[in-house]
Amino acid sequence: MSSINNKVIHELESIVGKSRCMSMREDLFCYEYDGSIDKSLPLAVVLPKNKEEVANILKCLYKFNIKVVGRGSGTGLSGGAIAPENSVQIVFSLMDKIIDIDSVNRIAEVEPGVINSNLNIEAQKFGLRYAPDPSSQQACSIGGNIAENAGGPHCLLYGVTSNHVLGIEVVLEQGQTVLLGGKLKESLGYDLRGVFIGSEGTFGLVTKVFLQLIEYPESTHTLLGSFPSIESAGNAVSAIIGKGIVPAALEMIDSLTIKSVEKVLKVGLPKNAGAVLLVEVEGLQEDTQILRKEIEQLLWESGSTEVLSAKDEKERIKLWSGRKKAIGSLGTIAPNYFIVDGVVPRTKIAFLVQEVEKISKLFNLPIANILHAGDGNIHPCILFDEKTPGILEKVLQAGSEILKICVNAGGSLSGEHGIGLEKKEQMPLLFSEKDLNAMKNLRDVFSPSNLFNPDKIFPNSVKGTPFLQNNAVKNAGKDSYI
Amino acid sequence: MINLNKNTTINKIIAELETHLPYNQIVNNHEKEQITIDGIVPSIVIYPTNHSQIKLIFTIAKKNNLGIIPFGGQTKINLGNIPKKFDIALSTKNLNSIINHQQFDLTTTVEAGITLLKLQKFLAKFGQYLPINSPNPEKATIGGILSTYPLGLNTSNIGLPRDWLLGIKVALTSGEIIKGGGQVVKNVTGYDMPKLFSGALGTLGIILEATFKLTPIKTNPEYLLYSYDSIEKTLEIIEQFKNLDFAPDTVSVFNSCLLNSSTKNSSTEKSNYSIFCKIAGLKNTNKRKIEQLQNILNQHGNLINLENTELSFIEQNLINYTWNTKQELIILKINFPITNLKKLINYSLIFEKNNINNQMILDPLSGIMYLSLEFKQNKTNKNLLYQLLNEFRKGILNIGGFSVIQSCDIAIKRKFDVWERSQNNSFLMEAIKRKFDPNGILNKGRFIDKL
Repeated sequence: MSSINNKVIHELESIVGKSRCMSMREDLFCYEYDGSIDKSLPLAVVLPKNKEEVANILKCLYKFNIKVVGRGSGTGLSGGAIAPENSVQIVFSLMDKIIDIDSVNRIAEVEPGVINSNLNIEAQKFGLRYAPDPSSQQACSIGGNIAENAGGPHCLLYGVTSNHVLGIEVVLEQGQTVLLGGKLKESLGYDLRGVFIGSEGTFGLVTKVFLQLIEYPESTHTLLGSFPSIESAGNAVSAIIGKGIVPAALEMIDSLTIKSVEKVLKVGLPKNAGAVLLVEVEGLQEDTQILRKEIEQLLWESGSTEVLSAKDEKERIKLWSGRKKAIGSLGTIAPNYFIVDGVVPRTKIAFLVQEVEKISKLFNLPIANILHAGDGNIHPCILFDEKTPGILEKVLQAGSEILKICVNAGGSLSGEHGIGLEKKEQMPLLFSEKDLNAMKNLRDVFSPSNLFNPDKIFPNSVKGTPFLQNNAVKNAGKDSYI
Repeated sequence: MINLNKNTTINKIIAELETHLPYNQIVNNHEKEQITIDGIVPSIVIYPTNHSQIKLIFTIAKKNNLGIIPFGGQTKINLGNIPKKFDIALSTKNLNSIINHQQFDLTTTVEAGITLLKLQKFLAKFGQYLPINSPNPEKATIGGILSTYPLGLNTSNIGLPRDWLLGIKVALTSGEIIKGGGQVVKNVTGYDMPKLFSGALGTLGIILEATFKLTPIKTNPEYLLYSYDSIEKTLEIIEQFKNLDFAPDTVSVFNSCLLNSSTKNSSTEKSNYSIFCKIAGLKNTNKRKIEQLQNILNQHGNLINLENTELSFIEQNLINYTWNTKQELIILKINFPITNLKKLINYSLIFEKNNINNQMILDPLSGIMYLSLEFKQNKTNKNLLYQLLNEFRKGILNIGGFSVIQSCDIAIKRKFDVWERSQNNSFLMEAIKRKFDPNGILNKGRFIDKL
């Protein structure tokens, strides 16, 4: 370790104490990866307990020009929390207080390390909830949700994280604390809050958040339709949206996923179905009853072979369990998976899945499809065994081909996971150099030294420059976990 | 403004523009006086029809150190502080087409100059609408609304225009045309650039195109109008709205005198305050909603019986009133935490106590109040008004709110910053302005912190 690095660690230890500053290799292994395929060991990991410590850490790192990567729970799927060598990772798991729940104004004031579902448990005591519900909500943090502008099944009706964040207290690279937005729905001036959300930790670090809570619906109805093919399930999606119905959630899984779910969970999904579609409506009783009937009719008309309707909360949870645990169940098919997060106009879901099938055959890789069908956000999961020589290049190439199809279909590279390391080289598919430069100009306002989360989002300026993803390929030996 | 040998410079610029733009897109006669802002008449008004013309205008503006103010339907053109540079008024009204409508995907892409009414009429054919309201929708353009109208009256259920914005195309002062966001309803690819330009008062670039997500039209709108004789009783009623099983689509509280003569009847003439509610949805649900509302509204009030069509106009008329541009009126928009409503009402009574005529429109669910104050030009009245306005605005800050003077005489703008807030992020705002408009071409001096 260089003498400068020693100085940095010594100074960090003086800010947070030795127990909350880790630099031993064996201590760092837990922080070298997130939910993506990349990994890298940082120089050190620091766990602050309050904003003053965060500010002092940043002042120190700014002085030594050491890059900084923020980390919530490390559940991100695009490599957003991967810290390159010689950078310092700031982990927010100890800043996890729910400071206040103002039930009259329906505002939660929380620290960034609060786990999404923990907030809901607390808010529920006041008859309130926080709407964004990423699948990892039992583990992911609010700070991470803000960095990635996280979504979830119910964002179809309620919107993504950005729609529910009123204000954010952030610390910038030289340790200045600023409030972006506030406690009101609107704030004057440029929407600094809005541009910060989804900036993937490249603008600054969040130390406090004001979140808008919503009330629980009076009534919820959940339906599960089985279809002979993904095309007919896709037609049902178009039929429901085209009829002017916007459900709270509209989720789909394909036959390969159904089989793996049934193998593990035995929730009663029809094993021979080509796809199942989960539809949930929320609202006043009178509304949901009528909507349930209309949707059921549309499911039958679109070719559904079976329609199940949850009679109570227990049955609802059972119907949802197949969807919620779908990704985990894929472990029965292959030891590793790579999740693609493309988006297409929702009318093109069936087309996209057909194309994914072609790619699956072309690359000889099984692909299971899990879709937030209501908003066109698809998650083809490319299944593989990391021990197969050369497999990772093939997986990444297949993922890249799927994203190209999404973009060509009028869609986008990421619906909710972010660009991070994983998709940054594909950014030129969607944005010109001018578009990207405008984004960089915005980043430079918040972080003129580009101190935060280096090498994320933007493609490498020098073509062919290897970075972590390439390194991951290189390093993928029999001892590697990917 | 152009000072140096003004006519020669202007003539040169016009000559240069005319080589690229048809003559009917450049106005250099008395018609330009219709675009006066705070008493300043621009040297030229330009109506470009394509993006390359806008690029050219920026190049010329940069070369000659000119200031440009973009505008759409002129409905909110006076919003902002007094301009520091205003040479060219640039209208987007010729860029007004619907580029794309994906009926079954509930999205649309439009040019910025299309009016809200034209777009809504088009979408209505498909049973869809864009959940944005605006004063004077027949004139107000999408670009103008996005730039100037973040949160308005009756938006508690629909949110801000930016919440419906998926993608954007913008002309920067560098002449570059950039895009941000996308055309799909869920997207986190790159930074959320649409948010940067929405509500930026055209100070960072000119919005050329916008993509929105849409929603099905809410069916069966129904309205209730009640009158009350005191503000205390009105607030008691509002307090009970939290017990409703649902959030009404619209709740407006206002001085009854704002109802125009056609909707006035004997009940409203005697009353001081009115509550207007709108609900929509399936008929069965509406029945319950109406019953619940009536149970609350009946307690101290009188139902004003009007036809549904007549009631439907009240909603738009109130929204229009919030942007009244009469010089003798000051229209103040106040955002406040809803728990501080009573404090805000108490503060606002200082005007009445000092015999300054005022009217209020309140959206208690969104935490927004519009207050119009009568502005008399004599010196004693003026000084008193300045003093009270100052006190009132400080009071708003104290309760965690902020205020904008949306419309007023230039004398007020000379005395007050129209935007008043208490936040410590001005250095970020300034840095953004410097990055995106380094030469101060767009709307200079008019936004927060006189950016």
